Formats: sequence, structure tokens, C-alpha cells
Amino acid sequence: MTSGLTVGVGAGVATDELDRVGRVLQTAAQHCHEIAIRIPPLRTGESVGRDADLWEVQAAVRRSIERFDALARGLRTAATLYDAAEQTAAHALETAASQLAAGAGLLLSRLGVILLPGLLAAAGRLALVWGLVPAEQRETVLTAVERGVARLAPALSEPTLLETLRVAMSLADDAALGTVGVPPVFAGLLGETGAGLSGVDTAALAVAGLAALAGASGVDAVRIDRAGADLRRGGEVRPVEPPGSLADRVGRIPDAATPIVIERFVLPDGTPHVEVYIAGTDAHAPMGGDQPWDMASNVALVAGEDASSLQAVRAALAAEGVTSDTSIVFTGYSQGGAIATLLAESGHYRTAGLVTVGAPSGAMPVRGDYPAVVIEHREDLVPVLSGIRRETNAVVVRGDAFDSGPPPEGGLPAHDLDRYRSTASDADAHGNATLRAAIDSLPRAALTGEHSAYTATRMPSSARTN
Amino acid sequence: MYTSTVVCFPGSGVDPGGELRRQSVLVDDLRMRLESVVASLPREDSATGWFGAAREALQGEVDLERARLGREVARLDGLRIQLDHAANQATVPGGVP
Repeated sequence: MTSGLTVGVGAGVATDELDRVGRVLQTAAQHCHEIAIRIPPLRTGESVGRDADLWEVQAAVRRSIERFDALARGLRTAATLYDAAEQTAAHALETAASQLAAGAGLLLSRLGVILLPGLLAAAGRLALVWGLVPAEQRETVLTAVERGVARLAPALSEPTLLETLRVAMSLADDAALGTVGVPPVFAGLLGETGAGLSGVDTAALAVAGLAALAGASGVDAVRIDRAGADLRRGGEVRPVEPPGSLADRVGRIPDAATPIVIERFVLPDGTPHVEVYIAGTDAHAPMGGDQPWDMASNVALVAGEDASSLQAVRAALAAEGVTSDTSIVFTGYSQGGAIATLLAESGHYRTAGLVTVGAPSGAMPVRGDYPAVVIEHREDLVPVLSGIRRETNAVVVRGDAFDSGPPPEGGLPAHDLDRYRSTASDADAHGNATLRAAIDSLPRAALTGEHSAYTATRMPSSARTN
Repeated sequence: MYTSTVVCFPGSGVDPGGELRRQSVLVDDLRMRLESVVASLPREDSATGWFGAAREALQGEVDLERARLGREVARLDGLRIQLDHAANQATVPGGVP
């Protein structure tokens, strides 16, 4: 699947094609140079004709070196310009689209005022008819609806639809501003493309507020415990080899039962180093229950709130003695990727690297001076939910979750962690210079370290007050 | 077109045939290296995600260099043949037939 990967810095622009051709030409120039320096000793002066031929070869090879160097330089410049142009074009399009969304919101809200009485009457009649339908037929209708929804599921793995959805998520706040009467021009000025006062996080904050009103708070306090057989001695610590690649790191991400894994190593220069691996959302956890890796925490994270899962990772790091001076690499999947990004950028840790897979972290900027690799599947819905990717220094790797043909059965198959591990392995083998530089810059411990895993339990405020 | 003269003074201790063969091997090594450079250059069908005038202009430049280096590969092959021939002549008793 390596050939299906695209690599870009920032907005995830696929400049790898230019990069690849540039590297081929640069390598050709280097090989030509090695050939050119071997020619002079062959001119022995014994034959004028042979020496003249060797002069010709040397001159031609030198001309090719100059051309290859110039072409490789040109390709590098072109790649940079493509990135800049695409970001500018995307910004202009988004500004226009946000004003359109606000306009549509304004229009719909006005229409709503006019049509509301009629709509309420129609809904009342529909409810009356539904009440008159026999239970057996109601069951048949519901089954048909379920089948229809199931047929829609493969569409949620369509990359084109998901890209559209990504833009739509970014425009949700503009439409909402239009609905409450903010003129379209001002909605554009307030949104992500303007002053940045509203965005996906604002929309998520509204959702988090509604969820809290319904009793599902994603920001309640948590308790953490070190996992392991011997709880009397504070859990289990076992030896572990240092991670050697992206795939190795992704393979160490735990499941939501023990959502935090922390590995402590010593770097070759004697300084302590920590690797933390953070799990993704527990799809079966009830919202606002005692499992902090639930949807309530997810929404709180995207809203920029102090989610329970985020608190749990911070507490586990503190329990492991991690300070602001400890070198640390954050690796996370899905919700864990969002937590990893927030902690890496928090300024409270000496972040030495960030690796995320399938994370809804598009609205979370990555500005730090450390190697960061963001891996996404084109068919994965979850990264799309955080909208268009904003400011980021991260190397964005996009790959295909499926080889070919229709996507496999099941909910969100492109979000599967095993598939992400396979894509991370492809990224390890990819030749893109920027990606290689990021991977090679991740700290490498030489000796065996210590592994600890933590469980986390939310303590809902309603339960604590009772 | 090609001429070769090997001068070997009696008692000089130099084996002119051996020296020419050594040069032939070195020239052949350069030929193979240059051939592999030519083979590594991107061809028109190797780009999958990039099309248009700029791509075609680049391909035109690369094709020119491929042709240039291809000619030099042939020239080095000619040189190798000359050197082999000269080496054979140098080892034949009586010199050039």
C-alpha cells in the first residue's frame, strides 16, 4: 500500500510526487559526479583519440550534473509553491463558503418562522397516523428504515463524501451564526477564516453543553490506578524494549480498558525519556458514565474543555514522575490522538515527538519544534469530524485503508487500529524526505525500559453529590 | 576511426596488454554505472499524481539528458572495444598484424 500514501506538511498537500522525482534526479546527479571524477585517471596520453573521447564523456556528464541539479532545485521550489498556493486557495474558498453557509442559515431561520406553524401541524398529524398503525406494521417500517441506514454506511467510507463532510463540519458554526441572525459577511469575519472567534470547537462546546444538561458530562474528575496483578504494591511494572518505528509505536497503543501505557527509558546521553501511548474511544461506553474514554470526553476535547480522559493522562504522567524537563513522545489513536496533540502542545511537557493515527485533531494546531507525524485514512470518518486541518507543522500522511473493492462490513472499518498499524508500517518504508526526517528525529533509547499501564474511572459529579 | 598505438620498451617491466585490459575493465565499469543512471531516470509513465505543461516540460528535459547520457554510454562501449582490441594486439607476438 506504500504507493497509495500521500505525504505533505501542513494541510496534507500531496507534494510527494514532486519530492520523489526531485530525489531521483538528485541521486542521478550524485552518481554522475562519481562517474566524472573517475574519468581523468583514465586519460593516460597513450592515445589522443581515446583521451579525446574521455574528454567528451566527462564534459557531457558534467552538463547532465548541472541540469539534474537545476531540475531538482526547481522541483523543490515548485513543491513549496504548490503548498502555499493550495493553502491560499483553500482559505479563499472557505471564506466564501462560510458566508454562503451563514446566508443559508439566515434564510432557513426566516423560512422556519414562516413555516413553523404548518410544520408543527404536519408533525402532529404524522404522530396521530403513526399511533394508529398496528404494532406489527410499525416493526416492518422500522426494519426498513434500519436497512436503509445500513445501506448508507458504505457511503461513510467514501473519501470524496468525507472531504465534503470535513468542509461541512468547519461550516457548521457559520450556519449556526446565520441562523441566529448574524449577517453572512460578519459570520465569515468571526469564523476560522477571520478572527477565529467561532469554529468547530464552538459547535462542539454547544454540543457538550447540551450533553451536560442531559446529565452526560465529559469533564468530571477521574481516578487512575496502575494496572497489574499485584495491586498491593501499586500495580505491575515490567521491562520493555524501546520502540523502533512508527508501526511499533502504533502497535503499543492499548485498548480502552487500560487506556494509558507509559514506558520509561534512559536516552544514550543519560537523560530520562518517556513514551506515552493513549487509547481511542470505547465505542460501547455510555456517555457520561464511569469510562472516561467515551463520546462525552470526545466532544469535550474537540470543544477545548478539560475532558476526563485528558485529566486521566495528566494524572498518570504525574504518577510516573514526569516533569516539565522530561523528554516525552506522545502516541495516540482516535480520542487518544486528540489528547496526545493537546498535551504535546500544552507547554507543560518537554515534547520530543508526536504520533497520531485516526485522530479528530484537525482543529488542534501543532506549532511546536518537535517531530510530529499525523496518519489518516482517506475513508475514515473520525478525523473528518474535527473539520479542515488548521495550522500544523506535522507531517500529514494519508493512506488507503482498503486495497481495492468495496469496504469491509462493520461500523467505521477504516478507523480500525490494526489497519492504522499497517499504514504506519507503510509510512516507515516510505521514501519521502520530510517524513523520513521526522521519523529519524524521534528519540531512540538504547536500553530496556519499564512499562506501566493505567486504568481510569470517571467519578460523575451527580454520583459524588449523592 | 579509432587508432591505437602501444609503446613497449624491452625490459621496461610494463605489461602493456595487462595495463590496457585494466583500463578496459575501468571503462566498462563506468559504462555500466552510466547505464544504470540512464535506467533510473523517470519515464513519462512513472508519474501518477502530476500532469500538465510543467510535467511535460520536465519530462522533455529529462529525455534530453537520457539521450545525452545514452550517447556517452555508447561512446564508452566503443572505448572499451578499442582497449580490448589494443590489448589483444599488444599480446600478439610481432605486434600489429
